[in-house]
Amino acid sequence: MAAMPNGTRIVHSVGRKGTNDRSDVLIIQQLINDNLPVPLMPLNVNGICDPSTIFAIEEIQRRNLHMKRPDGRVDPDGATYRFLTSIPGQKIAWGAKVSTAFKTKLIKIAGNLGVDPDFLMSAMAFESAETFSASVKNAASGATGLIQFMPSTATSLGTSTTALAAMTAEDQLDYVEKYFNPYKNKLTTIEDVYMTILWPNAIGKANSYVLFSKPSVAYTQNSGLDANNDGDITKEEAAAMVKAKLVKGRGAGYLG
Amino acid sequence: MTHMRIPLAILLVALAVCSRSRPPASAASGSSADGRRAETRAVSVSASGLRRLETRRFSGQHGNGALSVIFLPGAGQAISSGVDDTARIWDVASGAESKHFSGPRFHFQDIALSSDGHFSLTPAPDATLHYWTIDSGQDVHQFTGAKMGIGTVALSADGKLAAGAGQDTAIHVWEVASGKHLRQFPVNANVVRVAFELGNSHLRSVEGDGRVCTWSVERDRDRDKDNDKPLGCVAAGSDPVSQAAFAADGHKVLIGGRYGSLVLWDADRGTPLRKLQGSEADIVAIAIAPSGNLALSGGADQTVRLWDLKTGTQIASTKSSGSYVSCVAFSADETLALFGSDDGAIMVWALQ
Repeated sequence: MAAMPNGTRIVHSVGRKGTNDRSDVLIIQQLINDNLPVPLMPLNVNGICDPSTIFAIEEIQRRNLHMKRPDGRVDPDGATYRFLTSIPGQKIAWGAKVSTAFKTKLIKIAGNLGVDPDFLMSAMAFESAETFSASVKNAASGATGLIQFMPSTATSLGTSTTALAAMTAEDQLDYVEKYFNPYKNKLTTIEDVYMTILWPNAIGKANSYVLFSKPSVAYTQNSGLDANNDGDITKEEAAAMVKAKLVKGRGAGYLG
Repeated sequence: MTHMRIPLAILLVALAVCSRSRPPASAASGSSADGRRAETRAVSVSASGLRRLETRRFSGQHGNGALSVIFLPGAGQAISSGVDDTARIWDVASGAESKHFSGPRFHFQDIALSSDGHFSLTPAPDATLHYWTIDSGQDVHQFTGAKMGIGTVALSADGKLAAGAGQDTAIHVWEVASGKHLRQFPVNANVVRVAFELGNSHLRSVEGDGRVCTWSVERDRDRDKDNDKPLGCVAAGSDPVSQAAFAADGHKVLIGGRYGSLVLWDADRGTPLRKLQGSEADIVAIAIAPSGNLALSGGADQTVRLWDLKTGTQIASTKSSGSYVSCVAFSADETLALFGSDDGAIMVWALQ
């Protein structure tokens, strides 16, 4: 597992002609060492972009990304960074409960969206009742699959809940990415990742923000989220269930 | 002047919507009285052979789900698409399929028709838009520039501009004649509906966070630093927005929510005008009739509802064969409705 906290992302470029902020260099050096995708000696993780760090970046670009002219630099939104953060050896919350193909794809998608993969996995664990099944369905609402796609959501994504249920979980991840795409690089907390699924209006709002109040259809359908049973479901209450999945998913037997 | 301005506004906005589909501007605008009468003759309740509120299922279906359906002007025909990667042309009176196109680009959840009804603008799953001849299925133009998930499309009334938005992070505008990508307007959330209005130069959008925004297509790109920002936005909706349709006058928008709310809003002021009571399930499809007096909604309660927008009351309802209604559309004379469902069925419903 990467020694750096999951979700820590570089802010500026690292490597030849890069910005090379110390915190960013530390992340890249650690990522290279944790995975060692090429036969190199481990780097000295010192936050200094030395020639051996640049050489390691170039080797990865040459061998793994098949670049003819490696530039020796890792950009925050570049292919090298995406590769480094999507190496199959990386462990993520709930990773032990999904296929390697699922995990690899999820990490790649999380990179594209600028979301911590653990947050996405925890939200899916909650929504799919820990099954990570493409076909798990809520009989009352018709919501289906990994993020419980509503019928209207399925239609707006150009599919149907029947078609979503018939595909593999790995293929359904494409629709998860499509669904999250409008919010890419805006979701920095687990609360906001879950709000994207439950109620996009609440993204960026305070945790005390009230999502649903009694009496309403929305409240009735989500009454299980009202932890203190006061008739108001706050953003914090709703996200608490997903945060619990994050703790569980990072535990033994689930992390993988 | 007032009399002249209303048809112009009508020309420029989305009309009936099947999930995301609308009839051609001219067919529903009433810009040609003769054309409209011809339309009425061609697709009328009498031609369908149905009694009032009777439904009939078309003879084929779209695999695991219908996505869009719309009446074609003047010929008694309709076009539909589904997740089976097909577009089908139907004879409305008989319910028989008259033509069939296959391939990924015929998998679309919205349709905008040219004013003569010969061309169709549709989004493809790969985020390209296709402007194609309905008769042959051949592409005239392909519009590129969007990166992901275009779900709603619109053509300007003069047919010169095309717009598309959805799960991408922007609303895109293309020039139809050249296929050139002209503009993109960054948005905050997913866009459930985009429509042209106000003399082709303005676009209106409804976003998933409930914002209704107006954009200037012609604003000077070089001189105005705010050219990519909306002219204005109003907040509408208190339920996560699932679907929306603009009325023909462009100043009203009917917004449906995931928990079944259905509210007619003043799109200029962001004030609610009518609350349509009856549905408590996810609203998947909405259409407003050309006259602006009627609306159709369909959703996860398997029910299609016909609404009187003047009073906010439900006139009638019917059930779909699937687990939810995925698209709805009005005929230009408002005597017939079409709807599709997630089991792939397409049905016609006599409203008179």
